[in-house]
Amino acid sequence: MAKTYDYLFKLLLIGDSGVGKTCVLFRFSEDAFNTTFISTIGIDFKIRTIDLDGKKIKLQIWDTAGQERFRTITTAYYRGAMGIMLVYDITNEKSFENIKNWIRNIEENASSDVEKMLLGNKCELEDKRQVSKERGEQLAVEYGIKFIETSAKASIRVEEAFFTLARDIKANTEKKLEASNPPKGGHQLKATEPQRKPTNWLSRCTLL
Amino acid sequence: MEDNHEEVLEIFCQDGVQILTAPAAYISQLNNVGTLMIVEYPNSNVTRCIEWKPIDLTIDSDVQDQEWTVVSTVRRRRTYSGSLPVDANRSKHLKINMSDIKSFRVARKNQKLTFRDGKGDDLCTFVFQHGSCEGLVAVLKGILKTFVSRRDKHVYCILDDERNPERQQLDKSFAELNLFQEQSSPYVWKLVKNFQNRPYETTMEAFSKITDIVYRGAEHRLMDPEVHNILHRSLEAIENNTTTHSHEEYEVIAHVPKLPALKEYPRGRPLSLEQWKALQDSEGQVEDVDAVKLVIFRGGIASNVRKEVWKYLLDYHRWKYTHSEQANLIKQRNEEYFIMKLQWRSMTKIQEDNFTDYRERKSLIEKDVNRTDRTLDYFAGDNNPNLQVLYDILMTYAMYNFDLGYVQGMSDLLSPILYLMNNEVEAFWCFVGFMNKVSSNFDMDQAGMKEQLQHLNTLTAFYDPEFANYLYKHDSANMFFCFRWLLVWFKRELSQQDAMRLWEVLWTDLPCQNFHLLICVAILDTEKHILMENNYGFTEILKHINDLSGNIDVSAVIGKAEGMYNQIVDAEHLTDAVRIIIGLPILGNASVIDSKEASPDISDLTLNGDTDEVSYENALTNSFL
Repeated sequence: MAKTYDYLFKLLLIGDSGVGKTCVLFRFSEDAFNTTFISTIGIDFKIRTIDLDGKKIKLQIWDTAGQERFRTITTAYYRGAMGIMLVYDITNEKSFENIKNWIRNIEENASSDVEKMLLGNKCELEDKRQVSKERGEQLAVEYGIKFIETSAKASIRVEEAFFTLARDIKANTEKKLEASNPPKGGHQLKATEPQRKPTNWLSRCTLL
Repeated sequence: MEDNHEEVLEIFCQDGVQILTAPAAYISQLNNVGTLMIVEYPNSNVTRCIEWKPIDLTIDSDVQDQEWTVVSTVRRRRTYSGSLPVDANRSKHLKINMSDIKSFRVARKNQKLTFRDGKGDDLCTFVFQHGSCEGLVAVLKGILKTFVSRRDKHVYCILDDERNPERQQLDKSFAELNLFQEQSSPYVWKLVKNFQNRPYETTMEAFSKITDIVYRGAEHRLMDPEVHNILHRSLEAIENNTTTHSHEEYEVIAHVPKLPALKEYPRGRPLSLEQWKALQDSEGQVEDVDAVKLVIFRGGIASNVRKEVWKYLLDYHRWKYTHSEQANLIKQRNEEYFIMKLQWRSMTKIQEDNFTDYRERKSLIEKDVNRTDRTLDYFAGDNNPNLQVLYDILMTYAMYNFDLGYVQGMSDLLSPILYLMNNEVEAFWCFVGFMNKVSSNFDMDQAGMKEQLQHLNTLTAFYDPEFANYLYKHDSANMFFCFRWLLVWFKRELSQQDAMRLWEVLWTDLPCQNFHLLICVAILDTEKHILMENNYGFTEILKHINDLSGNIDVSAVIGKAEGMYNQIVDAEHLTDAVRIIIGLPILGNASVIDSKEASPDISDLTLNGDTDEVSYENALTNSFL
């Protein structure tokens, strides 16, 4: 049976409680915004398949509980992630300060070549802003990662954020595939069966 | 006796055990935490000892950085038997000869155990910090002949071994079975120990010898006719339950113990106002609490009396209090509440600025209050005054229990209570009662949640080894997909009314403790066909389970769980591991180890769930990869 996608990427949303991780995900997966919020308990994920340079990419995006207390559970999921969105709330200084703790969590628990991205959410609330865009940009430069300000509510740049992250992972993946599997004549990627228990980072992408 | 050349067998081992009292020589170790062991020195006169050694600090600090470190050490055991590495710090080790122990007393809900010398003195007292001493007691009962003291049911007296007539009789009856080439009692006790170390092999070995007796005839043996009958009956039972799979090279005979059939337990009528009034005497005291709880367990509580009865179920009101005693208690609780509320209400801006912990709690509560059950009329709309009450109660609870503070999920537990009570003080104290039942769900290290997931795994493995095996092979033996169910007692899966019904049923503690885990097993049993037919892996299972929200028939699930409970307690192969979970007295026989012998197929799984935190974490990680 034909697969409906070329790549499967697992992404993870992390950040303080209440910064809007679930809303960002809901905006991206359903293109909607729900005003009756609910806190995330445990872990959940949503799927969206996107087209990127002629390839179908299935994004499996994991949403986590933000409270520190649940860190012991959520960090177990870091290891499988190929991309991580670090989300803070531009109207909440503390959530921005905590980004460095989240980065440390990633360093301790995720694979070293995981793609990261910084998201300053709730950018529609300009009058309540506590964290300037410049500070966000500067922090991203410090960590050598990309940065975008988004609004799940007003639907600003959420698509762009996920597409950017997915594109970076794709480029990374293909570069590694080529390195480990030099093209013979025509540039063809060999079809493989999806592996249930991948042993290295590369084989986590399912190829058609 | 040379320490260095000593052969040491470790029979039992448990970490996280603190010394409370000990002989004077060990005074420096008092209050320290370490590992408690039962060890055997086969080459020495002193064959068995209780030993305790302090924790190795370097290892400890390592462990603390790992996820899921604080695993319950209940029944955690090392099943290897071999020489222990010689330790340079032997002097710090506390060692008590087993023969010096004449009795032991279990206290503080199985968390404290005292060994006594029979002359009125305590030899030493241990506190089991993370788990309980149930595992240790079970092993002691297995290797010693004990009986419960008539004066104190928490005291186990130890019968003197060799010279004791009962021990001799027991040895004799083992000897008559002639299971061993050598007819001496050490082999009997070796068998008992082997049950702990290699339960499956030992069972098989022993059975093969029984088969030998029965099939080859026992003419030359003097066998008691009763023993003969028992053996025949058990063999018939084995034959009826044995399935044979032929493989190319060998034949595997797996004994699959069967549970009794699942019976229907339809729910009854809810406790009515009339019934409730009839169960109270003129002073308002409830005489027959068990009867009230039984009615509630069967059918819940009618809505016109629910508010009143919840106060009793949640320990705000006392069953045995008269009207005036109740009124006094209410007055006192009222004052207490407002004192605590005033504590945070009177905090100044500067105090708050200098109090990070408090500020973070406050902000977390603010965020969660704004997203708790906002679709319900009671909490809907902007500036809804009930949100302020929800906030005030959670803030006051954070002052009431500062160590626990506020953890996400608590607002879910408070919401139905506040809705029902519609009164700040009453809702607060009922919430306190509920939190007392489930506070371990919110442990800083999540140890309580982890223990429940492990227990759920053990129950599933016992109830349905095939399904448990499926989960294991699909990286889902961690049962993590049930996390949300357990954390907020199905609040996110059920409507408000259904959640209230389920909670009041669970608060009765009928038919057993941890009935909420059987609710999980019942729902999983209904869903397992979908999971297995579609060959779902961890990801799909999690999705499927998360999507069940709103599609669970609460009455059917409670009825099914009750049926399952009865199947389990009636099962002939009921293990101590399961007995501990559902609160039945343990038998203390060889089956204490875990449910392995109930389902040898899944011994790996049980190991995974029961032995150590590293494998547990690996299982969790594998699930995601």
